[in-house]
Order: sequence, then C-alpha cells, then structure tokens
Amino acid sequence: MTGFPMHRTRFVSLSLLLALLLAACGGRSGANSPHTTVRIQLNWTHGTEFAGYYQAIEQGYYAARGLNVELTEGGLGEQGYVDPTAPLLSGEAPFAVLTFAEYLSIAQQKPRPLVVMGLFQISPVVLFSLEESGIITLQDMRGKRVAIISQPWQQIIHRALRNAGMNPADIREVRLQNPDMENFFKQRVDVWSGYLIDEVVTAQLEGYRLNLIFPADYDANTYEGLLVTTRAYASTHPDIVAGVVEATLQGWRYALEHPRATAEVLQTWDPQHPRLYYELGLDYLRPLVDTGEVPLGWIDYTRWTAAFENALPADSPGYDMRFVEGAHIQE
Amino acid sequence: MSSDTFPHQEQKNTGRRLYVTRRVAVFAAILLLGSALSYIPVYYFELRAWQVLADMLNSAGGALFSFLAYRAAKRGNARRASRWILLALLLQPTTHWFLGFNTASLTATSLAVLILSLATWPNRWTHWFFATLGYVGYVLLMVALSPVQPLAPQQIIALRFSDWVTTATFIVLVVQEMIRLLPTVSIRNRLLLTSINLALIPAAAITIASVLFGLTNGRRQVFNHLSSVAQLKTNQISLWQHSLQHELRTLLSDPQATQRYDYLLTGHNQAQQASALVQIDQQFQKYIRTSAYFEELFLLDINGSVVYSTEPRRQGQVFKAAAFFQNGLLGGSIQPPSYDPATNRPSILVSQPVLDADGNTIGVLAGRASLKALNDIMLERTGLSHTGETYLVGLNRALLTETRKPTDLMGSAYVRTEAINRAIQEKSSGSGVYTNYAGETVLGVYRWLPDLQVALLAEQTEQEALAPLKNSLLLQGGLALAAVLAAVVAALWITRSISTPLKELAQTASRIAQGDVDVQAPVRGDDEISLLARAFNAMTERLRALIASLEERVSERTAEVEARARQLETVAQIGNVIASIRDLDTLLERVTHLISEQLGFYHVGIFLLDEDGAYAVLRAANSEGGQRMLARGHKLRVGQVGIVGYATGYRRPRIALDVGEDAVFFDNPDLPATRSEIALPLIAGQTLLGALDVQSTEPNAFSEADVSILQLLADQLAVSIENARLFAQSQQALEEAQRAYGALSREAWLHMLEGGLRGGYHSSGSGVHPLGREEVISPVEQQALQTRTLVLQQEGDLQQVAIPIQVRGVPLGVLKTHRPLSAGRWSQEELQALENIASDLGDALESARLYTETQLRAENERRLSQLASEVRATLDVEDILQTAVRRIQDTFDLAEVEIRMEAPAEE
Repeated sequence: MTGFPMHRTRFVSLSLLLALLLAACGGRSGANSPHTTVRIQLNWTHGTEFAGYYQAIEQGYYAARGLNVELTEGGLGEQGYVDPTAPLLSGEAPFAVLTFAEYLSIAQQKPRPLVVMGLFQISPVVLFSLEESGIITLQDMRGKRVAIISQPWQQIIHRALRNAGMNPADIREVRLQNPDMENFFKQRVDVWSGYLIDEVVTAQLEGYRLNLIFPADYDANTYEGLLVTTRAYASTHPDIVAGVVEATLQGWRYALEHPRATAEVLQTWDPQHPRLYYELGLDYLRPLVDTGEVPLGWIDYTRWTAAFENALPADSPGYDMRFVEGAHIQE
Repeated sequence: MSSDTFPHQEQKNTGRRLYVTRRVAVFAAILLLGSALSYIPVYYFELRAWQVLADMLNSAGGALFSFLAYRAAKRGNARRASRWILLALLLQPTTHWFLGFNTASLTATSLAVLILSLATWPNRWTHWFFATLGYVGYVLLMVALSPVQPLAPQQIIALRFSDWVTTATFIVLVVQEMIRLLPTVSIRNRLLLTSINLALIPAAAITIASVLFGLTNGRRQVFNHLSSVAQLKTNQISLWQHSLQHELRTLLSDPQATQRYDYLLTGHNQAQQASALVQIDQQFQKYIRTSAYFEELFLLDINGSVVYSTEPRRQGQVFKAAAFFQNGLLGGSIQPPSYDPATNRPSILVSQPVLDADGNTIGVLAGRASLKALNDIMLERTGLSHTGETYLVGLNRALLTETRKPTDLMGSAYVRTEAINRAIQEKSSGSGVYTNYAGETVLGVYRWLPDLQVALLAEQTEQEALAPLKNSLLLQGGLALAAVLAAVVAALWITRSISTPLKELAQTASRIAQGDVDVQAPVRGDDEISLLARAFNAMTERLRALIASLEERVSERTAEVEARARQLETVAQIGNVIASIRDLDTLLERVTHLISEQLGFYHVGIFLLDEDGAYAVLRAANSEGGQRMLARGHKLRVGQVGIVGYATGYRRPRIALDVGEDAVFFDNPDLPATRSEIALPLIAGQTLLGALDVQSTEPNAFSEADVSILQLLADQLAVSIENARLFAQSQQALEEAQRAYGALSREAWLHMLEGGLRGGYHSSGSGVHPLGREEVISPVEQQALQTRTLVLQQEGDLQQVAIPIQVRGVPLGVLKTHRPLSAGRWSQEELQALENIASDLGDALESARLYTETQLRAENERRLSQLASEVRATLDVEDILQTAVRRIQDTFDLAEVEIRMEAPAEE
C-alpha cells in the first residue's frame, strides 16, 4: 500500500466493471436456446399430489431450463382408466408419475424403467375411521367393514395387516362399485381407505373427526409419487432428465413453502374443490413429502429394497438418485 | 536563441525541476508516512498479520526515501533527489507480495514513474523509461516467484481504515495544493480554506474510521455475545438430549422392570405378559404424567412391533425398518426431529435397547419427545436483548421452534437465510450479517448440531445491536461536526483578526495613495501586524512631514513666482506707461514714482550722463532725499563714484548690500534708510544713457531675479529715454519747420494783401460787394483775430459771430456774420459748421495761394528757361551777357540788373 492509496479501491472498481461486463455477456446464454417439449404422464387427475409440477410450470422453473413441460392426466378420466405406464413404455411420454404399485407393475420390463425421484417419503395411503368408532389401530379393525377402493391400496393394507401379525381375512373388506364416501359417513362401512390429502381432507371438510391409521406405521411404507423415465431416455437425454428433476423439486419446494399461493394454483388446474381443500391437503402433504430427515425426492436404498420385500436384485435397484443429488447440490 | 541565453534557460529549467521534485517528494513523504501510521491501529485492532507490519515498514521506507529526496532537492541536487524518489517508488511493489498482485496498482505506479520522470528529470527520461520497464519486470517476476504468502482478499478488507487515512491525507494534500495554487483568492479565504481543509477532512476521516472501527467492534461484541448464547443453548440441548437418554436408561435400569420387559417382550407366559403389561402401563403412565421429557413411551419387540405404548393408537404398529428402532437395537439413539403424520407435529424419537437379565437385546424402549422442551430452551431469553432470539431449523429449512415474529404455523414455515443455508449445506458454524426470515437485517451466529441434524440460530437485529453504537457514533459524529464548526468559526475569527488589520492597512494605504495623508492605520495589540501598522504609521508620518515641507517650499516658490509675475506685470505696466510718455522729464519723473510705488522701493533715482559722458547726473527721483539731491544737482563720476558710477562705468548692474565693503555705499545723508541698493545701467543700443538707481530699506532686498527684472525695466526705460529724446528732437525740428513755414505763408499773404488783394467780400440783401481797405475792422473781428477763436457777441438785437480764418496757425482774416435775436440764437451745430467752413476756407485760400504761387513760379521757370535758352542761343560772350541782363530784368520785372565779369584776386 502505497504511493497510490486507492489502488485497492481502483482494483475493486475495475473488477466490478469486469464482473459487470462478464455478467452482461454471460447473462444471455441459455435463455435463448429453444424450448424442448417434455410430456409428463400423471397417474391421476389433477390434484394436490402434483402441486410441485404445477408450481414448476407456474414459476417458470422448467422454462428456465429450456423445457416446455406438458402434464397429461391419467387415472380415471372421462375416457375411462388411463394407464399411466403405457405412454411411458411406448415412448409417448418420457416421464410418468407413478405410484409404487404402478411402478411395481412395470418393474420387470427390460430394461427396467428408472425412478429418478420419489416424492412421498411416507405413503399417503391411510385407513380412517370416525373418531367415535374407537377404531384406532389395525388390530381394532378385526371384523370391521373396511372399504378398499383400489387394488394397489389393497396390497399395501394387506401388507400392513400382515406386518401387524394379522390376516387380511381378519377384516371385512368391502368392495364398492361407487366409491361414494357417503357410505362411510352413514357408517355403512367402519373404515374407509384413501389418500390423506384427498379423502381425509374431504371427510374433514364434511366436518367429520377421524382416527387415522397409516399402513406406513405398520412397516408397509412405500415411496409414492415416483417420477419415472426410461433408461434409454435417461441415457440419451441426461440434461433433460436433470432439468426436469431439478425444476420439479424446485417447484415442490416452492409449493411447500407457499401453501396458500399453491392452493390458488391448484384451483386453476382442478377447480372442482374449494381452496381450503387444497390448503388442508398441502398441510397434510408436507410432512409426508418433507420429513426433515432426508432431502426432497430422496429414495433410501434400504427402504426401497424393503418395499420390494427383497424381491429386487440388489445390483439393479431401479432408481437413480444422481439427479436428485444434483438438484440439491444446486440448491 | 543566442548562445548566452542558453545557460540561463537551463538554469531556469533546473530551478523549476528542483521545485517540482521538492513538491513531489514532500507530497509522497507525507502520504506514505500517513499510510504507515495508519497501519498501527489496523494491526492492533483489526488484523494481527505480519503482512500488515511489512506493508507498514514498506510505506515508512517510502516516506523516508521521499524525505531524503526532498532534502536533496532542497540542497539543489536534482539528480540525487530523483534517485531517492525512484527508490521510494521501487519499494512500493513489495505491496503486491503482501496484499496480492494488483494490475491497477502496477499500472498506476508505472504511470506515476513516467509522469514523475517528465516532471522532475526530463532530460534523463530514458533512464526513467528503463526504470519503469525494470520496475514492471521486477514486480511481475516477484509476483511469479511469489516469495511470501499474501493476505487473503477478505483480510484485505481490514485495511480499509488505512485506505481511508491515506485517502484523507491525499485529499488534504491535493486540496491544500489547490488552495496554494489559487491565484485570486484572498489571504483570508486561503487561511479559511486551509483551516477547513485541515479540520474537515481529518475529522471526516477520523469519523469514518471510528464508524468502521465502531461497527467492527460493535459487531464483534454482538457476535461474541450471540456466540455465548448459542453455546449456552447448545449446552442446554446437549444436556436435554443426555437427559432423554438417561431417562430411558433409568426406566430400563430397574431390575424389576427388566423382568417385566422380559415377560412382555419375550411373551413366554401370557399371564406374566398381561401382568407385566399392566405394571409397565402403570409405571409409564405415571412417568408420562410426572415427567416432562416424553409425550409418549413405547416398547417394541425385537421385530419392531409395538407391544406397548402409552398412546393406544401406537399399539401394534411396526417400525422394523425405522432408524430409531434399528439404532435402538444397536445401543440407543436420538433421531433428528421428524414428522409424525398422525399428530402432524415434529418430534424426536429416542430409543434404548431393552436387555434381558443376560444382557441380550430383547426389544427397544422408545420415547417420543416433543419439541416443546427444545422450544422452551430456545425461548429462554437469558442473555438476549429485546430483538434477540434463538431458534432451530431442520435439515429441510423448516422452523422447528417458535420465533419472535410468528410465522404461519409452528413447524410449517420454512426459512431460508444465508446463515441457515450455510449451516445446513456446509454443516458448519459461523456468524454474519444477513437478512433473517422476517426480512430484518440481523447479526447472527449459526451452529450446526450434528446429533439432531439441526441448525441453531442466534440472532439480534442490527438496528438494536448497533443502536448504542449508533448513538455513540452520532455523538462522535456530532462532536466531530461541532469540532469542525468550532474550527471553522475559530478559523473565521483568526483569519478575520489577521485579514481585517491587513485590509484596514491596505485601505489606509489606498487612501494615502489617493492623497489623504492624514489617515492613520489602526493599531491593535502587539502582534506582527500591529508592528507593521506602527511602522506604516511612522512611514506616513514621515511622508506627511515631507509633504508639508514640500508644500511649504511650493508655496514659497509660488509666492516667489507670483511676486516675480507681479514684478513682471509691474514692469510691463511701467513699460506701457513709459512707452506712452514723450516728454523725457515727465518720463523720468513718472518712472521713479511708478517703480517705487509698484515694486515697493523707497528710493528710485535716474541718472543720465552729461553731454561729456563724464558724469551721471541725477535727473529724477521720487524720494524726498532724492528731491534734495536733484535740487543740489547731484552727479556722480562715471566709473568711479558709488555703485551708479560702477554700473555706468562697467555697463553692468551692481548690487550693494549693507554688509562688508558695500556698507560704505550707505552713508548718503539724503538716503539714510537705505539697506540695500542696486544700480542698473541704462543702455539703448550701444549707447550708455545713464543708470537706474533703486534703493531699499530691506537688507538683502535684491536677488538675481530682481536684477533681471530691474534690468528689463532699465532696458525699457533706456529705450523710452532714447525715444523721448528723439521725439523731443523731432518735435523741435517740426516746430522749427512749422514756425518757418507759417512765417513764409504769413509773409506771402501779407505780400498778396499788400499787392492789391481786396480786403474781403460782404454778402447781404443787396448782393455781394468787396470790402475796401479803408473799411474799419469791427471789434468782434478784432477779438476773433487776436484770440484766434470763435467770438460770439450780442450787439443790440443782433447776434454777431466772428471766426478767424487761419492758415497753418496764422490768422489771415475773419469770417463775420450776424442775425437778429428774433431769428433765434446760434445753435452749437451752426457754430461748428461755421467754424468748419472757416477752417476749410483757410485751407482753400492757402491752396489757391499756393496754386497761384506755383503758377507764378512756373512762369518764372519758363522765363528762366527761355532766358537760358536765349542766352545759350548765342555764342558771343557779349551777346550772352547783354541778353542775360535784359532777359533777367524782363523776366523778373526788375528795376535794375547788372552782370559784372571780374576775376577774383589771387590768395
């Protein structure tokens, strides 16, 4: 320091100027590249469980990565049941959001479809009874009428029952042609099954107080809301896969941190429910997705393999967490 | 350019170069010294790094070399001065090793070397050029070799105090230089600007430095405090964690309980099992009621199935894959906070293995601790200020405990701040100033708690943390401002006290310059300016005296000049007067009186030479004594007696004073009062006429100037005397001629009258008829002839007028007329007309007579001519004689003519 007292200041100014120049030049890159349209096949109609995807679109996270994401509804639509795995396997949609059960149904495909993100750390599948029924454990359900709406859920419930030392026959399973919850409210069945963020919210909004029995608490937890792509696509379009995962996680983060805004967005995608429905749903969803123990979207090997009940070969777990890792490093 | 102006120019250039070098050197020395000194507080309060000391020494060395350059320049050794400056500059690059390479600094220093070279050593610019090149190479080489470890960029920030001081010094120097170079600013403003510059900029620099130090120290204090708080909380959490484990262990350590757990978990005997369940239930329920550690206790068998829980809904649940169970089997654990979907609350699961009597693990005892205890620990405000708070954030950025400003829902709010991100991503601890969850700027300390996998934040808003500091800084700033204002006021006062007397002095000087020499410069006190004012007043005193004496002399001279002018005027007047006097005696008489009266001399006498020129005879005098002398016929011998004799003898003026040998001149009894005398020769042409003698009662009355003037007068007088004499002579000649002509005319007229000219003519009602000679001349006519004037006489009722008819003053006749009174009296015009007629008549008669006479003379001439020609017509002598006798008789009608031829007798 010396003859020229401001040399550091000058240096800083110069660096600042250079930085500005670089920023001005560098800021443009990427933004101008043409958008790639990517279709994501959903496994159900629009709802709370896809909130992160909507926000990723809404907040422009996909667009920022040069992606134009199209979400295609699945499940029981007007054209009947849409199998979300079909477009994935056919290549129509490079991505599909699947339940664990749905993934399991295609897990034997060669090459095995690749799970790149597991949203729900705790399965949202829940059994619930009216509070006054006194049914608070699986054991309490012995001999009770239990409404099980879908087969994947039945598998989970059976597994939970087995884990609890029971036999699925211990309960009186009720198969309903029309899954109208009035049956539950009118106590035609004792226990209803569904998603915490959907059926439970609906019941609560109807004013019922419920006892919740999570199959997950009976060691029948599965990862749900799996984002699945094909291995071929992942190897040929790793950038797109990384972009989709990053943007989706970012969208989910946003959705969790801004439940009210997200509820509004959800209403635009599925206007048939009141806002409170979505707000409550997001409130329930949050601890299932973000337990605080692991990063968002994470799949733990032990838990993953346990879910398969050791049916999967160890050398090919069927999932790849590189993209989730990358996304969190970016965060 | 001529050869002899070259060394002069060279000398001038050297002088200027030395001056510039001196300025540059002193500038650099002060700047570098300021820089060096500023490192001391930096080292002691900010950054105890050897690089700081090294750079301080570097700056100090530069300052020393600059000082040596100044001294060399002062002693006139430009070359040595330049070398020292070069050395000072070459020392500076070491800063690159201590503080990291800096292109801007290198460029700036290189440019400085070149600019300095042009300013201080222009003739040797090549030296400088190569020196610059060498300098750049040297720096680059040393940077490449990187001999020492430079400061990290963030550490360099600590040097900003030094930057401020150096910058302030630089600004002060530049401003001072500018003030110095301002050509039109008054001393007062210059002093004022200097005072402000010297007060304001250092005050600003000190204030800024204080703020920087204060902020740094204040923050450091707050950080220290927050760290202590964070440590305290960490310890409390740790204690709580241990307590949780300890509680579980205590529950398990009871030997009876071990038995019960064994019955319950191994389930050999249903009755024992049921009994154990009841006992355990009682024990646990009691524990839950009395202890605040756990919300729920549950026992899991070796397969992870819940065999007992204080919460009925837990009964039968299976946690085979759950971490808390797995870790519990392995020896116990505390899980990070996680959500229990059933309660939708974060909680912490603590587990301990349940051992049978043989020490085999037969299950796991788990406790669900609510985060309430943690919340309480975090909300415990010991050591925290109003805005101080501590809270926990989970791995997922979710708030785990309450915050000062409530977020949406307890546990549901996510917080993402710089500190939280750092703590979670880097799993590290630290501190910083950042924006918190509520958007407030806070000073925060963060800690990563690895056991719980949570971040602990201890924060305090910057506003509150720095409020006392801000107050003190405000006070400090206020004091600095007040000091600056005081300095400005003092500067104003001092500069006023200096400039006002100077201005007054200047005004006094300017008034004196305008001629007002009576003004005095005000003198106050005993300072230098007062001394100057006193000296100035003494000077003006002298000036006044000088001017006064000058004025006196001028007035004396003026009086003299005026007197001289008056004398000259008098001389001119006298000249005019005497020029108009034709009579010599009158002239001399008047002159003596005029000179005496006009020039104030009591005696003036005029001597004229007698016919022989031997004596100067007093001809006129004004004084009584003079009159006596005149009467006595006073005369002095030319060239011998008295100063008049001298003046006439030597034709030179002579002054006699009443002293010395001249004193003898003043023994004239007729003029006893004479104290000084002057005699001036009267010379007309080459002729000495006499002398003008002037005497005064004043001693020493005649100066050389008087002599000149009186000589002038004397000369004029001489001319006038000469003129008067000539005039008298011509007058006399004229009179004689007139007299002669008048007599001739009278004789001619008498001759004519006698020769038969009638006595006159009379005109009346009866016509014109001649007057006979016999007619008696009337008394009126007689009177007119005798008086030679018009005579008006009344005789009876007749008014008679008689007017003499004169020719050249000689009365030849009378014009007489009369008229009765009834016809009115003669008017003056009529009488004048008659007089004119009489005069014209005289002239006409004279002309007629002269004509007649001329005709007669012509006739005679003709006759003589005829006679001469007749005489010359014959060549015979006898004829000639006869003809001549006859013709002469005839021609001139002579009675007798005789021509006798006779030769004169021989002498």
